[in-house]
Amino acid sequence: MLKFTRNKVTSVLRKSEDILSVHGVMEDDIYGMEIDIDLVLSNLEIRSIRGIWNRMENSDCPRAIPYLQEAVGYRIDEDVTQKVQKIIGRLACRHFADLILECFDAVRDAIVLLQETAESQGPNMEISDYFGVTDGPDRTEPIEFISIQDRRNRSSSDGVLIDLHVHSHPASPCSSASVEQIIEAAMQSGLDGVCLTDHNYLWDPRDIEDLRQKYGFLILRGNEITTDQGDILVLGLEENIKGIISLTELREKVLKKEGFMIAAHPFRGFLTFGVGYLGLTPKKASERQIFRGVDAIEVLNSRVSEKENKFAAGVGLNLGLPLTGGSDAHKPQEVGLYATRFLDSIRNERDLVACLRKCRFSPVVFRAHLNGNNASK
Amino acid sequence: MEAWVQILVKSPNLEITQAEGQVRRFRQDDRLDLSWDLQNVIGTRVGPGIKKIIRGLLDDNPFAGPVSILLDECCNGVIMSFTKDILVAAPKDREGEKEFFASMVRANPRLLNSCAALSEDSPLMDALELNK
Repeated sequence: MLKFTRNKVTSVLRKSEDILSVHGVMEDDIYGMEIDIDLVLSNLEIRSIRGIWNRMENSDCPRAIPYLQEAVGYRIDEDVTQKVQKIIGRLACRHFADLILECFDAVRDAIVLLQETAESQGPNMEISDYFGVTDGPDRTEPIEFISIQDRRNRSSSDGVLIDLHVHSHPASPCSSASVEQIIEAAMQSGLDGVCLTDHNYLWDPRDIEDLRQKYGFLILRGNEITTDQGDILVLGLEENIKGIISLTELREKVLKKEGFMIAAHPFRGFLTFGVGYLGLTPKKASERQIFRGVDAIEVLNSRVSEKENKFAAGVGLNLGLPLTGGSDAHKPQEVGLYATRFLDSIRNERDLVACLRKCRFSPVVFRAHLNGNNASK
Repeated sequence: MEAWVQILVKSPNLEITQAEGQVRRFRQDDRLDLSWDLQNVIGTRVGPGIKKIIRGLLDDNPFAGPVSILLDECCNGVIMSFTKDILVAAPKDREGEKEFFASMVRANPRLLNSCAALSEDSPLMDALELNK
């Protein structure tokens, strides 16, 4: 039974000596849209852009149209995909962003054709569950709730509170917080430390030491590595891994270095409305390969839904894997929403990995109390 | 260029269990079977981040760009086939629509500010009562 169809068409016309005109159309069972882009051939800069909706998801989708103008001035270069996804995709609409990127691909192909034919033909040629019905368990006993006030009145026996999952810019291009902003936010929030887990990026230990000295604050180095089975937070691996690595290969490397691996947000987006119809249960999900190749599961993450966090906790409990929490902050105000409380003193990455390996930690809902972003209540 | 890919996805984990494809036409070159390279994506799951994973797994293929786009569309199609019925059935009256999309965002908070319609200042999000 055919459940969904989508068609996209793009075409490129050489409007004048130095202007290419691109038209893109996307039609599927929900959306219908068109886009017209004029760009300067000599530098591939967008001169004008216009979009229209033919069919849309809701009556506020037209609000996306004015934001398309943000793309005027963009050049088709190696950074443009990220800019379009980040700015047009978020401010306007990701379907328009995807269609714009299709148009850019068509332009690139058209230019190849232009270059190939220019010598022989001259320049005048035409050339695009319903809101997560699958429930996780209601069990939340491994998850602690700590208020900022609790933290201010704490004693040394209360352990060390660390946000284990934080992204800084420019190390993580998707983040909008500088490392300095991250550290300042962490200090203000009452955390005892942060672990920088930028995507496939290894911080230089000297830079981190300088930051530790400057702020007098615990800053740790981690890494969020993309594997064929999903994102993994890795601690204790001094290797800069680029591209996609298989989980098996990463596991071998980390075990060799006696490091530690945490499955990051393992169900992000997986319990989106509708997909709940699949009837995925924590028991079935526990069979996934990813959980055989990690030491712990992140069950508190501020960028996933409450149900997804709960579901991850259900899987962790089912498998008997230790559970962690981290904000996955991409903005300063997100730092410390969730954290992990360690029972041992932590001064550096070696202490961190040792404490993780001894399982002397638990996930904590910290500042999420304030934001109503309480994943486990 | 003319190409196709086809994937088989197993529920409930949405794991890709089969993948095949072919570049039918690319300038003057003969047909190229992609099925061998596509074996790399078997075992991955359709879900967030799949685009990046696919791109990385196909990196050595000369057609990595267009084939990734085709695979990404296949994955989108899988997700949309689940969400389509619900989105199409959204209430058409203004108040019903607001409550519907507010409920959707409450259940999936990352959708807030994910686009113009679901931004904090969008009238569609009035029912979220963000300031309360």
